[in-house]
Amino acid sequence: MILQQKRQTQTADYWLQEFAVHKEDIEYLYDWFVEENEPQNIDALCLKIIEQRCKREEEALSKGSKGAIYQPREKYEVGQRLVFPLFDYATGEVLAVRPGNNPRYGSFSVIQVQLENESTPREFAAELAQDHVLNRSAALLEESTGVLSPEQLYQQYGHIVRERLQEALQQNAEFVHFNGQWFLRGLMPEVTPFHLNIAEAMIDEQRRPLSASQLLQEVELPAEVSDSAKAYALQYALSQDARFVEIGSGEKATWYLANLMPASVLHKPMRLVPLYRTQGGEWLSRELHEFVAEIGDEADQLETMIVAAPSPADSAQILLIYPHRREGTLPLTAQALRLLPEIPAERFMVTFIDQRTGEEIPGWMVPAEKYAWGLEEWYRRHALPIGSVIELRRGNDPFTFLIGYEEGKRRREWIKEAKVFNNRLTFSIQQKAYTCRYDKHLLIDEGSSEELDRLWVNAGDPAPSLFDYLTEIFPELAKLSGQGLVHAKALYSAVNLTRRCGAVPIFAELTRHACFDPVGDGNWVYEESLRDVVYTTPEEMSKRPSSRRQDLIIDRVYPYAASNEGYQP
Amino acid sequence: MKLLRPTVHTKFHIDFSWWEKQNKDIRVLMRELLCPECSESLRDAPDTQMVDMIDPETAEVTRVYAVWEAIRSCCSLKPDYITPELPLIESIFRVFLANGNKPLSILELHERVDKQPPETILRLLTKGQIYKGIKPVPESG
Repeated sequence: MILQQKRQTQTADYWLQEFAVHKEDIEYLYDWFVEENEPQNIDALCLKIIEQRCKREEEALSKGSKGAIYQPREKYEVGQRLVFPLFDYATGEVLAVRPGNNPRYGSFSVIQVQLENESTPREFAAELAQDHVLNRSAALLEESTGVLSPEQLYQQYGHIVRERLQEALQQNAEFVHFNGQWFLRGLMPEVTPFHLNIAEAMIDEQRRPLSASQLLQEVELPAEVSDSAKAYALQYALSQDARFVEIGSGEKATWYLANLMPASVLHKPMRLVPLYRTQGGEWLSRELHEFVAEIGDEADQLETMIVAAPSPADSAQILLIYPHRREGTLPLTAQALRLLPEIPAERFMVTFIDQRTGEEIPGWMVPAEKYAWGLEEWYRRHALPIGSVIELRRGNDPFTFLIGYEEGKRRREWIKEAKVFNNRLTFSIQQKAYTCRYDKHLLIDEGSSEELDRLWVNAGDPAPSLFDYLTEIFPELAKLSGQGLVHAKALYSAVNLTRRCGAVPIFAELTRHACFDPVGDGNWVYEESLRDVVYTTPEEMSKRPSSRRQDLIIDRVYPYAASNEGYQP
Repeated sequence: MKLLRPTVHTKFHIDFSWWEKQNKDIRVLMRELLCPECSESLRDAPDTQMVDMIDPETAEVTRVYAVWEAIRSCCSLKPDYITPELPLIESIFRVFLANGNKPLSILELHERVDKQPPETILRLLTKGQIYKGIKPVPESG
């Protein structure tokens, strides 16, 4: 068996507790960058640091290199040189020896040592009869085959090295970080305004995002610089210039012009920003929970409900509501997001293909904001009403999606039509005919969009409370029914004609206010005399003790999006 | 030196100069914390007596008051050194004496005394009055 001293770099304590990035580490990386002349990711840099630390340790441990490894039990003489593993393998010279003074430790001596790179000497115990952890660790023996390689150490402790190295590099102005790659500022070729103007002209001419390598075909940077350094410098300069927008990231990054991007892609349209937000924990009846699931409003799909690794899907059905129809956007519901095998960027170009005609429609997806853009003309041409069931399917490549709707027999039906009268939203019944499949409760003919625009309230604008607004709009819808009934989904669809709101906040107001009562089949009634009565407990919300209705439906209530006691379909 | 508004991440320690300014001798308080064995062995030792203390990890030697060394090496290791009945500020004071007055954040103190939420400890140590010299460590810069 080959025996050797225990290396500090082999211990968890060394990496987890003691490891800090020193000036020598930074200088080492600096030299490495100069030698390689390539941008590097943080993992490569971490591995180099670990390799270097192991190498230094080997050198220090090699026989007679710098002196004996310090151990408290040994006796030392003035002038002797020692290595201190716990002080980052610093070497030191013994300056003086004196008797120790503490009966607790028995007889021992104290050596005064001047460590390299320190201005004042330190004192250490020597000839210590008592046990000390350093005596054990320095003498600890292990088989040489048990020594972990730098790669193995990186596997175990890389996360700590990465965190501390990133922090150190961020504080050093000589290092540049872009798109997960680090580089030395001094090694980057200069990218001038002239170069950027050429890049702008290229993208403008081709009207599509271009990669760095495509741009470098005409943006001429010094030939002696490596291709990766040129691409890095160009992309770094593009990222600092507001004219350019990065589409995708890493190796798939492409660059586009901000002024060519639709405003609704650059910034989320205000019509899609909820005025009343779903928080989670709202009390809803079992039936209303089912309606929330049927509607699938992306505003109700909270971050806390998102599954870490959802199973991919081939198609998604999406119910169209007014704000999306008006903006020409498609909600990217949780189901729709499962069609995306990967999300290459915050916003990226896609092609929608009309399932029926094969027509290609250029569009954009903004997954983080849960919408896709580019369908305004398609909605208009196919006369798709609010409440239409849209189908989205995967195409032949990750950025192509088939879009369509189920066509049925054109049938004339009596449907609700919105009208603005005296600056108030009112409704009437009209006969209309549509060929697409739709949810009959969500279906509303919006009448004049321009008139509805005058009533639209953006998030952040002064607005009445949601409850007050419901008590205003509910009677208008109730007039359309002989019994004063309003379906919960119809109320949701109507609210979204003038303000963006998920189904949950609306249904929560229905549940907790005594003036609303469920009377079966999703229908609710309104009793104005009870508008000041609020149910505060789940039992009250379920049994509705203030109700005067004979046809009241008692339904259990559950908190929305609560994992423990929530509704389980 | 700068002092920012303390948070639960701010490091605190015992400021010995505070004791000097108050004209108080911290060693008197330390002596009260000695266990019966150490109290006996140091009965005749003057408060000013210094001894060598060996760091349990690095074996570095520092010269400290004998009473403090006894607390760190012996008394603080006994189960009745910090008990649930002790007032919070006394527990914190004892933590610092036991660890050699190494600065600790409010979160770290919370882990060690396990009594009150970090925010309560922060309020106690920053509401104005200084207890037993426990103060934020001034940051350099």
